[in-house]
Amino acid sequence: MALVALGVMLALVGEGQRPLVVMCPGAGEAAAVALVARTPEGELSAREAGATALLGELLTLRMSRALASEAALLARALPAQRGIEVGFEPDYLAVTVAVVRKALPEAVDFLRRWAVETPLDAADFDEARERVLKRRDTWAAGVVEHTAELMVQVLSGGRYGWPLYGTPESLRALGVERIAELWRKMLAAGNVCVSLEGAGETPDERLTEAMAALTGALPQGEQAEASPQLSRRPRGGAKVEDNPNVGRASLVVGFAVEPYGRRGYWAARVLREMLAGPSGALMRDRPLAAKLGLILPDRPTWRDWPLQVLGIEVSGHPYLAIHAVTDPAAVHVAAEGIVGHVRAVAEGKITGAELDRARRRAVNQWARETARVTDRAVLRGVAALLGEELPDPKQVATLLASLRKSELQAAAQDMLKAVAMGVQMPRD
Amino acid sequence: MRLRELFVVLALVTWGLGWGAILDAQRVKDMTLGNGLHVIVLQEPQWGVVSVGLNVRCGSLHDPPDKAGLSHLLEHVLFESTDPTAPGLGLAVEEMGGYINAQTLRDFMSVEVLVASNELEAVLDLLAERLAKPAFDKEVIHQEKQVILREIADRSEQADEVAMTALWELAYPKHPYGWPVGGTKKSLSAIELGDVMAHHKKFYVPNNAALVVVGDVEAGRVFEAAKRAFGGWKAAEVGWQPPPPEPPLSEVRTKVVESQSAATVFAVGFPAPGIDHPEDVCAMDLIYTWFNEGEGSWLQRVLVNERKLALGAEAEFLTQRYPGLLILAVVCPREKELEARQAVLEAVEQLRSAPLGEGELARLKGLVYTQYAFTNETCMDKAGSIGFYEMITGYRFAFDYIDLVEKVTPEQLLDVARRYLNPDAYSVVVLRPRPEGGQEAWVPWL
Repeated sequence: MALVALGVMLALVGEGQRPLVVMCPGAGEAAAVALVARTPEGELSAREAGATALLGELLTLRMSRALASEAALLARALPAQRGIEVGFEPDYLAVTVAVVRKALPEAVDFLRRWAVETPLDAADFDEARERVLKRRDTWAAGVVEHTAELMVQVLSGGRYGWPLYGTPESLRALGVERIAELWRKMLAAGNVCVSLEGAGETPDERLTEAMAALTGALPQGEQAEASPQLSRRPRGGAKVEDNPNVGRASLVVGFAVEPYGRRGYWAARVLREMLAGPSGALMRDRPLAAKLGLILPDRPTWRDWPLQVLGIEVSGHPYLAIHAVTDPAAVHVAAEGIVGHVRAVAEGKITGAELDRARRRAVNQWARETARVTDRAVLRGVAALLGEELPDPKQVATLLASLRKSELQAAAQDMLKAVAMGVQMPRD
Repeated sequence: MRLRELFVVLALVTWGLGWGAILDAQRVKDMTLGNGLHVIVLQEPQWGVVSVGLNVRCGSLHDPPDKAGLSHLLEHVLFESTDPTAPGLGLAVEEMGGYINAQTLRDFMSVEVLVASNELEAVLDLLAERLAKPAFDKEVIHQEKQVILREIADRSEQADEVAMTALWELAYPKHPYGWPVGGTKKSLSAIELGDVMAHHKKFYVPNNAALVVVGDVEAGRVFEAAKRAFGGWKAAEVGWQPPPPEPPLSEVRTKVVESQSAATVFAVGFPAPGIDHPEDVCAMDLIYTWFNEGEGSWLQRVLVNERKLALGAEAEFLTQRYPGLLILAVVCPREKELEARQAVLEAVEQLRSAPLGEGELARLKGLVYTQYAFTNETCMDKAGSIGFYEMITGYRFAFDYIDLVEKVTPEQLLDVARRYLNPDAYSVVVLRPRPEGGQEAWVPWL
């Protein structure tokens, strides 16, 4: 699907072999530039789990120090606390600089100098590794996050199944040269996208020059093209871990979703909203909740309900996941109940009112997720690397209105082809 | 001045020219409905979202003396439903998939909603139904009191919250700004159903409120929808008299509290201007920025990094209807408390002794501009800013703010520092770790 976002330019800047550049004029004075770099398929092995996290931490350290030491104009054009952000997923790493609109050229220049041209510093490496190890501990202590990771290990395999923050062994085995090599490959033209949010209708000369310098500094290679969606065969099954620190069992049931941009992806987002919210199918399923062996509040609200739907990412490998808190003895009941809700959609048990509600929620949810320029800069870059655009909520509303019930059914049927589960059980 | 410094200053000053409007005054329209409800619309023809904010001048300032926390409790109650078959305001917006946030400050309360722009009418209807014509229920009030008591208990375990609450109480022994916004266990227990209903009846009237809409919507559509949704809301005389101002501080007022924390926390509060002195407010924002914003801020660069007297520090200055506080809060090792406090006073003296250089002032203005740009990043942020200033002075201030900041001169800033940051007239709260063995080493000059 190719949605044509109003006012969004898909442009190439610079000479010769060039990376993908996407720009949006934006509104207001808050602007951002994101360098979104994809992890090349097959580049990493399981023994190198956590390499992207380590790279992200090295870049964070480097850029924070550069910002602190530079008496440059940029230092006062960044918002406190969130001027520079480095985020990553198994698919990609994104470095974002949020600035006021007129400082975009300086932000682009800063990215060029500190994220691209300056070699990663071996002196920072030990500190970066320590930081990743700490983040790993924090991540592992997040019950929902860790259970979801167990589920993804089953569902997706490959690098999607590796621990996001690696293991102590994999992190110890990685050296700065290997991380630098990975970053060079990620920055190669076919893998990288520069996303500008708030560039104005016509980027000025300073910005164009800064972009030309940035793209010129990237490793030369193949002309960037929208990447075809990666194929993947999801797998079913379960991965169970014991965790003495949890009081109840934690279960995540996951279903593979079509890649971002396809109609099946948007159908899955609608399906998600059928399950979610104060009057969604999961909240209405009091009989299932009653079987989970929990003491439920007299006046339960959606926020403290034991069954919660997680978000669906803009990704080439998205999934729909539902988390349940349950008595250990009722894990299978919870899993069957959750799968039953997806099966009901697959069988066409959808009312018009449910569909309308879910479409409306999906549009508003999209409005929330894309409200900030920094988020939009990254999401637009990720979408571009998948060969897609980032629609605004009006466009999403139009698209979702065109989704037929049969498409929802088909999406649910596809999801049921492989059901993956992650479980943490409360015992030694 | 050395040549290199001159070059930097020129570069900074030049960079400051040509700032874009963060809030575009050309795109704002407003009207007042027949019942007095002020409707303000900022059209942002981008991205298909809209934010709706309903603001009511009903903050802790308006609480009766023995019922601190009443306004905050009322906000909580309005979020909930008295009808078991219908969701409360919060859940109703969640049910739509939108985002809702509500807050009670000292001067006012606000509810803000973010949704796709086609939902404008639905949100206005919902807000009108739940905020203008609510039903009240004793059980819901009891339930929300329990929620707030839990919030108070949680805050009582956070050193910074304890210090802030104690500091406002210390600085404002008479004025309602000294009362905790959420109230206390005692004040909440004194509040009954009738109090909540009477408070709502008194303050939640359209002539005491403002509706702010920012987003991908035309003003005409908003005005029509607002008339339909809120037109039946009855105006009434509010009948509230502003409290007498707090007498000026003429001493160093100190309170020491023993705490469980491993480090010392102290919060120094200097008197700060209210919105009736807008030029002073802008100068104080620059002073706040000098202390707090960015890597080059005094608290971070000098107190934490260079002199290593503090583990962390932050400043706070919220513009309010009446004079407030510039707060400098510091976490430091116990043995460095006196040195850190002395350093804070030295920093104040630095600001009082000579005007800042043009280059430094330009840097601060740039930081204020950037912070303002990003606190107005989304439609919801912008609706928040416009509503905020509408409640305490008039919404135009949100549009004029950056121009006013730009006009502040080094001499003005010096004058404001000298008038407000008096080293002989401030309040300080110290949370000191309990001494081992029960022997407290009291500092003689406290």
